[in-house]
Amino acid sequence: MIPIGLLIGIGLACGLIIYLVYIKVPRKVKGLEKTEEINAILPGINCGACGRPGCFGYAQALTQDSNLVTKTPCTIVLQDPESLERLEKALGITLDVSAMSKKALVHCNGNSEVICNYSGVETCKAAAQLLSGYKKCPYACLGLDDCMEVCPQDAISIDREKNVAIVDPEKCTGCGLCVTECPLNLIELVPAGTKIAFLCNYKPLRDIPGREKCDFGCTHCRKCFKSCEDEAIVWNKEKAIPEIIQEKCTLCHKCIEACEQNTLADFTKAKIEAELAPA
Amino acid sequence: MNKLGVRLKKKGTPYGVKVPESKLTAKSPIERAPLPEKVIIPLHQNIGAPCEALVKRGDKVLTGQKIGDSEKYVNAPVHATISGEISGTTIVVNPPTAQPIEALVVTSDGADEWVELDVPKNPEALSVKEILDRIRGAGLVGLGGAAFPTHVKLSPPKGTKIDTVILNGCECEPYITSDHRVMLEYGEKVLSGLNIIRKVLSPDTIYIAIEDNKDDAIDHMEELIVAMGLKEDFKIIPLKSKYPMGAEKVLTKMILGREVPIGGLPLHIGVVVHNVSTAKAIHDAVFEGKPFIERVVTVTGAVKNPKNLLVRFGTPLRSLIDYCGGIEGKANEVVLGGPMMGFSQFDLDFPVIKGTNGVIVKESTPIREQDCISCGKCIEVCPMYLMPTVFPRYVKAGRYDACKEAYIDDCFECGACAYTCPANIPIVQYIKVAKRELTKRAANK
Repeated sequence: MIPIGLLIGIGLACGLIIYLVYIKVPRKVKGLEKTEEINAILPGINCGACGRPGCFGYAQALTQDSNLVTKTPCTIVLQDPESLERLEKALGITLDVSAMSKKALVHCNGNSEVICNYSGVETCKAAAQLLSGYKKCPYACLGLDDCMEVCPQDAISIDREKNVAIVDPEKCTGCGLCVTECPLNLIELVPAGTKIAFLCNYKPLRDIPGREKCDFGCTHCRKCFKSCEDEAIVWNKEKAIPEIIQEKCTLCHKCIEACEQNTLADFTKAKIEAELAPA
Repeated sequence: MNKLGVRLKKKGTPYGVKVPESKLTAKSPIERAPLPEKVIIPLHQNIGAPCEALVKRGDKVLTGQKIGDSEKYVNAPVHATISGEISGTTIVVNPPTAQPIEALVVTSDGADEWVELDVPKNPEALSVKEILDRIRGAGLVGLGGAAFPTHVKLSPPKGTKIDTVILNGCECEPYITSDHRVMLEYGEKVLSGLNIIRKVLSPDTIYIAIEDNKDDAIDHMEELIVAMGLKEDFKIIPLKSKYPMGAEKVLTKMILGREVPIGGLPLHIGVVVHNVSTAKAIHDAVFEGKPFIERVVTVTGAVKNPKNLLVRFGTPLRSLIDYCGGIEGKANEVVLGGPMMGFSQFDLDFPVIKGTNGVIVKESTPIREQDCISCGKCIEVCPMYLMPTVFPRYVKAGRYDACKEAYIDDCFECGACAYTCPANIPIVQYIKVAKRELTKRAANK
């Protein structure tokens, strides 16, 4: 009898403690109401692109300083008009989406010749440490999946034939994770309204013996510059590359036809290309 | 065995790996390589600041003329290694850093005309400052492989007392025999250089560490020490041959029982380790006023006649390999440095630089990396008592901070772990990726 009574006693005592905790300890932390509200709008995938530890951390930061949203916006929210409206309402500010919306662009045409056998860790980061990669052009895309793996939206695929990363602009939110991941600094965030893209990561420091010229890169022939009738292409003399003024471009495709190396592409059709590319 | 009273008891370490030595060129005397028609001289050959070119295209230069210098302290100037004309600049990719660096091209006039050498009248009477200036002016760097400017290593910060100097003649890397031959053929110069180091640092004890696979070198050095009457000062420590015996952190731990602090140098525990070839070069710089323009390079592996060559810096690898009879068989890889710590080079026009102690031609086999089976072999062999097995896992997961907590900075990338790994995991490459990423992140902060 005594042991049973003892056990029942312990059980009742524990039950009492649990009940007291239940009624005394508040279940909602005070002062976090606004953070919770913002957190509900955020996508909740904790991609880390905003630089904060997860979506809740970002919501906390926004509660303290709502101007942060213009500096490091949550790019996923920017893509979705409904949640954007809710976020604007919650923070009490309006955002200029068209100026902030960006897309990743890989500045490489692919195809660069492989000059030596690489055997080692199969990531771009490891390969780029040895002699800036194993391609003829020391700035060429290596196609070893680093950016593909880091993308939270699965927007990047690798074209295995041309060995180059391809970004699907529909899926891309412009979060910039791939930009920091790429060891060769090939990826750049461009405004979403970009019309013509320049697909070469030309650097003046290029005359490395044996790696002088990539057969698929810009040859600085200036044909695109001459062909443009809308004065939308400016020749950057210092870097010897064309610079496209997107506002003036009428998408006549004359520069694309003029380029013999296919280093210029229609960015508005990039989506179709990304779909055609074998994943 | 110890009849001359110079040799101390043999020491060894339970860590490290036993690698096949393959010292093909241990018996072949040093030969002077033919002067190349053109040399490529990178302006950044040392740890520290890069040099700035002092000459421009079209200038005539003499052998030994200074062509690149910097005002920074941690820097070693570069010199023209043949006489001729500066025919232009080019870019080379330095394998350890993967950074493109500027290089000057000198086309030979065939005369090999030297600049007037500043030979001191009374070398024994030089002051410490004069000696250091001469070493700095000659562009000397450590020849063990890391290429750290020698004058910096010889001027410890104020308040640091150097009580021990270790002259490193271990040469634990397989294939390479350049230090071995230097000890046998330039033994007097090595000891004279060591004497200069003693004068600069005034340590209490001086050890010469040589692995026991170089018995002839130990005997030779022993006789020389006795013949030069330095019996009381220099002691030889024979070491069991094991890789990586010649790393300075391992040497200090084994000989003195002192451990280098994390992220520190042997300097911080009162020890300075110098390579035997550096000692020889110090002698040349101080006693003969010669700028540092040539070194012994072992060309070995799949070449017809492996040789030890005295090579001017900037000589393209192609001409060295051709001089040794060309590539044999299916060899398709050229490694600069030793097989354990060296770097592959894809371009045979790459020049020999100050840190190059060997050129190895070999057939490359693709690595088939498999999953870690947690056997712990890498932990057994790691000379720094790290757990190399965790680094690939952390890097794959992107947890670079965890690498730092596992003392990744202590690793000196000897490659013993990757050598012993039964799953063929390129552990050192993972460690390099993590180190690079950590420096990048620290710089961004």
